[in-house]
Parts: sequence; C-alpha cells; structure tokens
Amino acid sequence: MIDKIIHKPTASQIVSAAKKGIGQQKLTALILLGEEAEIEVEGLISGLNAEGVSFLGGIFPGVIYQTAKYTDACVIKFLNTVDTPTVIPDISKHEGDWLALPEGTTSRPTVLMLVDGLSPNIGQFLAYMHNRWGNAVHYLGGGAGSLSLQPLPCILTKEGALQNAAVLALLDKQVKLGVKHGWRRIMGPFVATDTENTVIKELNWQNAFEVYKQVVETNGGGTITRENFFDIAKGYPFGLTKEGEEDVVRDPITVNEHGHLICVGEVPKNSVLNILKGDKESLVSSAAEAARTCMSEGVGQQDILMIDCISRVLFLGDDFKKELEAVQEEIQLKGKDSVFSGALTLGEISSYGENRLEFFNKTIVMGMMYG
Amino acid sequence: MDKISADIVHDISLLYELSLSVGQSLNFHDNADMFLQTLISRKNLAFASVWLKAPYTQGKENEVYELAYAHPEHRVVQTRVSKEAPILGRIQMEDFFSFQVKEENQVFIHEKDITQGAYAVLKLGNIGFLKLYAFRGEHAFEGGFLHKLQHVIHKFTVSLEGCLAYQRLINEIRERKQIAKELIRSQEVVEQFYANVSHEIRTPLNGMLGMMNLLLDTGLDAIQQEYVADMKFSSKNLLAILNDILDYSKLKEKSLELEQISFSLQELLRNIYKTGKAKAREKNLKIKLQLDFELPEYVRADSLRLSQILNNLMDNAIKFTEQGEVHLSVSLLSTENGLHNIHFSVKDSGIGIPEKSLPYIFDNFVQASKETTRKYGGSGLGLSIVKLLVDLMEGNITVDSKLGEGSEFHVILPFRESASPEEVNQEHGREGELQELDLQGIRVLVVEDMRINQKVLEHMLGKWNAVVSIADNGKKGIEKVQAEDFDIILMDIQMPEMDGLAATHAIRNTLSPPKSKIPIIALTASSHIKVKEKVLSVGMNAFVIKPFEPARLYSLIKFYAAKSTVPTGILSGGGEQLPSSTQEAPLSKLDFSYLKELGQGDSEFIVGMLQLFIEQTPIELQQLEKNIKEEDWAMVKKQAHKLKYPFSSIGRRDISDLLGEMEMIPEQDPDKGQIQAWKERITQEADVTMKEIVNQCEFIVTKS
Repeated sequence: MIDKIIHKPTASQIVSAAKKGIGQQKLTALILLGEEAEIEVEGLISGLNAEGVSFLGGIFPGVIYQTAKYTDACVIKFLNTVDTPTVIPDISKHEGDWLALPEGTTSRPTVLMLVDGLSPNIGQFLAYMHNRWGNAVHYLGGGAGSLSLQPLPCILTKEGALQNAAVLALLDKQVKLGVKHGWRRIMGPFVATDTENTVIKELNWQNAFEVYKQVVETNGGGTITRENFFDIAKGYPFGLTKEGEEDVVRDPITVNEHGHLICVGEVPKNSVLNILKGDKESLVSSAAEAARTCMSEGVGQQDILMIDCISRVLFLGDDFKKELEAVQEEIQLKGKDSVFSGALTLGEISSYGENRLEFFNKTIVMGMMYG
Repeated sequence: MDKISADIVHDISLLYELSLSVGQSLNFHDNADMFLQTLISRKNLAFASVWLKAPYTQGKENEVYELAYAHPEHRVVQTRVSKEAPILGRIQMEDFFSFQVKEENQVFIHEKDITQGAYAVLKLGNIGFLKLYAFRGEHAFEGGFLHKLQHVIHKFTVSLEGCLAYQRLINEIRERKQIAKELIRSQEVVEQFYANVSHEIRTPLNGMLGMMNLLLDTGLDAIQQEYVADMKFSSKNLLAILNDILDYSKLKEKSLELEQISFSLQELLRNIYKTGKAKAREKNLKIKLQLDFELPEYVRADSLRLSQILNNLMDNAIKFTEQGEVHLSVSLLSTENGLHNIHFSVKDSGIGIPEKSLPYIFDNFVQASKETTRKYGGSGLGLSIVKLLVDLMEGNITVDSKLGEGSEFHVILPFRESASPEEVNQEHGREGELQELDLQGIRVLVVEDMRINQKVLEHMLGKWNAVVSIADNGKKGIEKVQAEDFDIILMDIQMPEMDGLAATHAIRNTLSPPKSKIPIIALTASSHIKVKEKVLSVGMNAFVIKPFEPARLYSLIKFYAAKSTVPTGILSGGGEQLPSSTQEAPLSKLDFSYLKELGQGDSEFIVGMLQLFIEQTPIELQQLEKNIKEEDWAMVKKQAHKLKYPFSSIGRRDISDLLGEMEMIPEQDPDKGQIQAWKERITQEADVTMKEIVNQCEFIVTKS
C-alpha cells in the first residue's frame, strides 16, 4: 500500500484515509502528524478507535514525503504487523507483557517504536529493552514532540495521546538500516564529571557551559550566551565515543541558570565526550551514505522509512532540500519505483550495526523494510 | 595531535571512564551493570557476562562456574559450566585470551545465535571470569586492549568481591533479624500462654483451697485432718508455682506496678530471718542475720516485693544447702539525694553453681542442671523473677559462686528515705486494728456465679458472723441492692448475663444515695494491672485476687464496711472508727496472724511460740532492768534489740517500737529519766500481754 499524505488534514480525513488504507489486509496505520496540523487529537483517536483501525503515531516537528518536508501535514504509512501495537504508558517503568516476543514471528522481525523525545528516561528504557530482546530484532524509530521543546502528550495510541510514553509495533518484516550523521570532532576528549540524565553539569570538573562556551567561541562559533544558545549550539553538538562507529551525537538545546547544559538524550556520568562540528556538505553526503547503506539491489518497490533529526533541518536551512534530494537519488539508483516518507524527530532510534540499540541526535536513520 | 598522542588520549580516556564506573554500588548486579554497560558502549560490544565460582553464587560444588551477570540476557543459553569445561582449563593457564568465532572454538561459546565475531575472556582473580563478545570481530580486542584492561579488571574484581561480602553480610543480618523476630514472637506466645493457663488453674484452685479450709472445720478425726492438711499444703505449693509464673509473665509484660509505702526495713529483715530460721531448722542449718549499724530503720519502697526478692534468695540458699549456714547481711552503701543505697548479701555453704551455668542463672527456667530440677524441684522461675524485680526496682543483682563451696548473691537496691515512724504507723494502722475476726451484723452481698465460690464465701463470711446474701450475676445483684440494704458488696468480674463491671456501673450511676455509694470490692482471678485499672475506673473501691487470703478480705470488709454511709446496726459513727466493742475487747492488742502464717496452721507451733514468749520474756526483761541499773548502755541497746522481735511477732508493735527507741539511745550520757519511763511502760505492758496470752493459750489448747 502506497504511503499517503494529507495536507492541512482534518481528523475525519485521517480516519477515513487510515480506514481505507488498512483495507481487508488488517494492516496497521503509522500516523505521523506535523505539529502545526490543526487537529483535535482526542477526536482523531476516538474516530480511529470507533472505526476499528489498528494504529500507532506521533506528533512531530515535521513530516517528510519524498523530497519535501511539511509542518502541517499528516503522512500515513501502512504496515504489516504481527499484532496490534503495544502501548507503554510510562517508560520509566519497565514491567510489562510487551517484553515477551510473540510466537510465529519471522526469524528477525523489526520493532518500530515511537517515544516521547523529551522524556529523561529514554536511554534506560532502550537499554532495558535491548537487554531482553538484544539483536533478536531490528530496531527503528524516533522521538516525537514539539520543536518548542515544551513537553506534551505526543504519542498517539488507542489509549489516547500520551506523554513520557512509547508505542511499539512488531513488523513481520526484516529491515536494513543506514545510520549516519556527518558531524566531526573538533575538540576533546572531555569527561562529563557530573551529569543527571539529560543534563551535563560539569565537564572536566568545571562548569559545563563555561567549558563549552570557550570551545565554541575559539572555533568560530561567535559569542554564545544563554539567550542565543540554541541558535549557535545547533552547530556544535557533543559526541559520545563509540569505538568502530561514528560518535553518538548529543544535542545541547538549552542552558539553565546554573550553567548546566540540557541535551536531547541521556549522557552517562563520567562518559567521555568530544565537541563536534558539521558543515552542510558533510551532512548532505552523510544522508546519501545512510540511504546507500540501507538499499539493496533489485528488490523492487520498497517500504522506506526516513527518521531525520529536526536539528539537521535547522542547521541546513534551505539546503535541507539537498539532503532529501541526495537521499532520493541514492534510493532510485537501486529501487527505481521506491518512495520514502518519514518524520523530522527529536532523537532517532536504531540498532547500531549488530550491536547496541542507541538513541541518537542530529542523525539520519534510513530503514528499508523487506521480506 | 599526532596519532600516537591521540591513541594515548583515547586509551587513557577509556580506562578512566571504565575506572570511574567501578564500585559505584554495593549491589553486585548494579556494580557489574555500570562497569559492563560502559565497556559495551565504549567498545561497541554486543555482549558481556560475568561467571563466578559456585561458592560465590551460593552453589555447592567448588570449581563449577555459574553465570552471575549477562547483558543482554536474551543471549544466554547456558548458565553453568562444569569443571571439565575447556574454557576453565584455558583461563587457569592465561589471565586473558581472545578468539574468533570458528568451528574449533565452539567449546568456548555458551550463547545463542553466534555465527561470527570474536570473544575475549578475562580472569577475575580467584572468583571467576569475564566474557566479552564483539560482532565486528577480533579487531575489537586488538592493540593490546586486553592487556591495558588488566588494572581496571583487577579493580573490578575487588569491587565484585566487596559486593559479594556485603551481600553475605546483609543476608546474615537479615537471617539473624528474622530469627530474633521469631524468637521474640514465640516468647510472647509462651508468656501469654503461661498467663492464660495459670489464670485458668487459679480459679478452680481457689475453690479447692476454700473447700479444704471449710472441711478442716467440720470435726474431722486426726487422720482426716492430716490428709486434708497435706492436700492444703500441696495446693499451696502449686499456688506458689502459679504465682511465680504469673509474676514472671507480668514482669515480662511490664504490667506489674510497684507500691511505695513506708515500712520498717529492720523489722522486715528480721521477719525474713525468722521465716528462714523456721525452714532451716528442719535441715539443721544455721541462719545468721547481720545488720549494718547505720542501716536506716524506716524506708519507702515496695516492701512486699522486697520480701519476695529476699525470701526467694533465702529459700534457694536453704534449699541448696545440706550443711553449714546461710548468712543474710545487709549494709548501707550510701545516702544521697534522699536515696539510701542498700546492699543485701545472701551467702550459703551449699552446692554452688557450675561456672558455665553462671551467665544463665537469671534466665527463665534455668537451673544449674537437670539433676538440680530432679532433686530440688521448683519452677526454675525464681531467680528470673528476682532479677526482673530487682531491675524494676532499679537495682542490681550479681552472684559469686564456686561449685561445692557455696554461693553468694549480692543485691543493691535504692530506697527512698522515710520521714518518721509515725508515717509507717499511719500506713499500717488499719492492719493493727484488725484484731478479731468478727463482722457481726455487717450485711454482705456476694455477687458471684460459681457455686463453689459462693459456698466458700458464704461459709467464711458466716464464720465471721456477717449476714450474707447471694446473687448469681450482676443483674440479680442490682435487684437485690434495690430491694434490700447492704453494707458492702463483693462483686465477681466475669459473670453471665451481666458482668461485675456493668453491674457496678449501674449501681453507681442509676441508683440514688446511699445505695449508689455502697462499697464494692471486686473479686477477680486476674492480677493484671489493666484489670485493676478497670475495676477502679467503674467505681469499685478495692479488689481481691482469687484465691484470696481470708485476712485481706476480712480487713477490706472491715475497713470499707466501717466507711459505708449506709446505716448498719453495729456501726454507729461511720468514718474509719472501729466499733467500740472491738476496741474494748480483752485481746485487743494481740495479733497472732504472723505466727499463724509462720506455723502454716500448726496450732502446736503457735502455742509453743507463745509459751516460749511467756518463759523467756521475764528473764530478758530482768536482764534489761539489770543493765539499766548498772548503766551499761551498750548492753541496754543490745538487750532492747533482743526483745523487739518477740513483741512484734505477737502483734505488739507499740512495745516493739518502744524497744526500738531504746535501741537507738546514745552509749554516752543518755536520758536516764526517759529510759526509766520506757522500761516501766514495757514491763507493765509485758505483764498485761503475758496474762492475755495465757488466756489465749488456754483457748487454743481447748480448741485443738
């Protein structure tokens, strides 16, 4: 079933399109909603429930459909799932039946997951999940939420719109992943000597903001203050060292009155960090590389999900279109009729190679589902 | 930065991060998790696990290794390796090694779905080993990584050993706490059981003792009298054991309340000495009493409980001594802030206590050996009661003993100073007034459901010439009170239909005076402090614990009936004044209750004691007179002391007190006029007393 986009949608249009899309095949609808779409969310959920539509979804800073991004549109993808999606109403609590993989799944199914991207417990949640499932499954997903960085009920489930929550769907398909970001180290290593979940309080036993400010200002970032922090910091993320792979990016989004840096995603205490910098070319080429990695020759029309960080959009500005075009170019090289769609997220989720499950920032995750 | 420097920074930062992740928690899993998550994350590994020798995982077989931690857990298929496992052989030879996943290395692999990649195995000191797995192959462990990791691994091992030791300690403490909790619980159950059982036994025993008393008065022949006396003796022994058990459980429950009354300490000690002497006579033992010259005559404390402590120690000393002597000595240690600290020592030449038993001698049910229990009997609670009483009185008890040579118990107790002898007399005044067992004309209502108790009370009160009326329960009791006039009510607590508490409440609150003010004495089989509080709170005047001492019941009836506001035929004045007929009675100043108690109903013993008094007193008085004449004041004091006890034992406390005054005179230049006056009064009163005794003796002889 081909992905569907609805511009400036109403709740009833989405319900109607979702119902039509799942058809007789009992598919599950993945509903990606741009945060500026004027939708009454409760009405949407009750409409979907009333029509018996199996679904999962989220409110994101934006959605992607082919080579364009939208903030007020809705993208619907139709997926073959093993069962109806599983809701985890509070990801800080790990107990639940969802930990058991259902019988009769393919040899290595894919878990598609949407989480509240501003939750402080995402790292622990993913670690716990990985501990139980490991790489018996592939992982693919991203963080929902608003670009305003104000917490809100952004995970759409049959139980309602939820905050600090996650929703999972087990896809009866395999996935090939491409994960890249294109940011490179400019200074480090620094030891995060005091942290608390997503907050970096100290770097090398000094106030985190003071250390960060010095590095950014000596690397041509201009004068950085609490007020212009977001605009400048989007070009200077942190990288958690990961041997044999690119650093895992941590995006500092704000600085509080104590000079502590607040990131999207957890930073473990005493972890070793580098400060990274990117340029538009390296980011665009990394997107092309991610797309290239996930594609296989001669598999025909594919289901391709693109999870791309909103901060790449902010960094690239108008050049973001080049990133999407580079991705499309790579996809069409191997799958002529393939289309791709996805979401602009607050954090991206995937298995990293064959090893750990990670929560990234400023990264592009391409997943090609097949089989 | 050149490549060498960059590599060094990279290695140091990795080792630093790993080093800081060690020992963050005393919980084994959390500690391992923090270290290995860091290692997995930084080295981009797919799996890590910790294996420990079986004793560390609480397994029994040494040299078998068990899985203690794994991440991610889903990889695990095998959790135990036997001592023949190739991985153990190799780790014993090398501190670490790595291998590529290949057919020939399958023997080292205990995880599922491993088709490619590489493993590293590192020895964790003597406690186990660590396994790491990298999907990306053996280059994950290249560049001397495992060697560089050695110091951190050593630190990690020590931290794991710390966690294991801590866990063992926690488990041990938890087990001990659990055992202690269960022990306390079982002790509580046992104590409650004693209290309940002894209460249940006391009730019928009360009836038996009462009926035995009545039986003795029914003109039995000599053999029958002897049999009944034996029965009574055995019943009293049983009662003593029950009282021990009850006292013990009350002391353990902390529900025993101490009284604070003024009393003559010296008199109490001499009574204890005399009681001991009577018992020791049967075993041909010598009893000695030694009192410190500075010992105060009067103190304030619970005299009953002090007697219980000392009697218990004296009884034990006599019981466990076959020959030689028992020595009670008492001395004043200090007096400060109105408190006398007094040391009591009870020393015997008996069997002694084995050294290993000494630390436990004050524990409940502990006797020195099973042999002791068989030979000497007893509840085994005596010394624990003594200890608990001493503790309750804020004192201290210790024991010195040598097997085969004897024991010495030391008790140190604080006593409040007592103002004067008058204070004592005032408090004991009521006892002094109870001289004749006569309740003539006093109308007593007995509210009691048990037939046997009704009968005992009916006969006892009848014997004292009281007018007795019986009601079976509280409801009938109220009806009787409404219909007739009574001077006093004896009220059982537990009764069918309406209990004693409810009945008392109704009398006090629904009837109008004078009936609402009739004195009510509770009859209860429970001596628990809560029962005492309850009976007093509903308006009862006093309570008597069953089986009751006839003397106590008598004195209470006499006292309260005299106070009753209900007009009676014989009580004219009300208040506490006794009837004039009693005051004028010829034997008004004699009281043989102490001798009766001492003789346990043996009238020959009492008569013998009185005859001894009549024979000895004139001789001793002559000696006193001689000493006064010769102005040998030291001898006068000794002689006065000698005469005190004989007078107090027959109830003449007034004379005994006078002799006490004489005992206190200074040896230099005393008031001769005063001494002469005392002497004359003593001689005069002794004369009257002896005449009265002659009359009484005739009575006793006639009756027996």
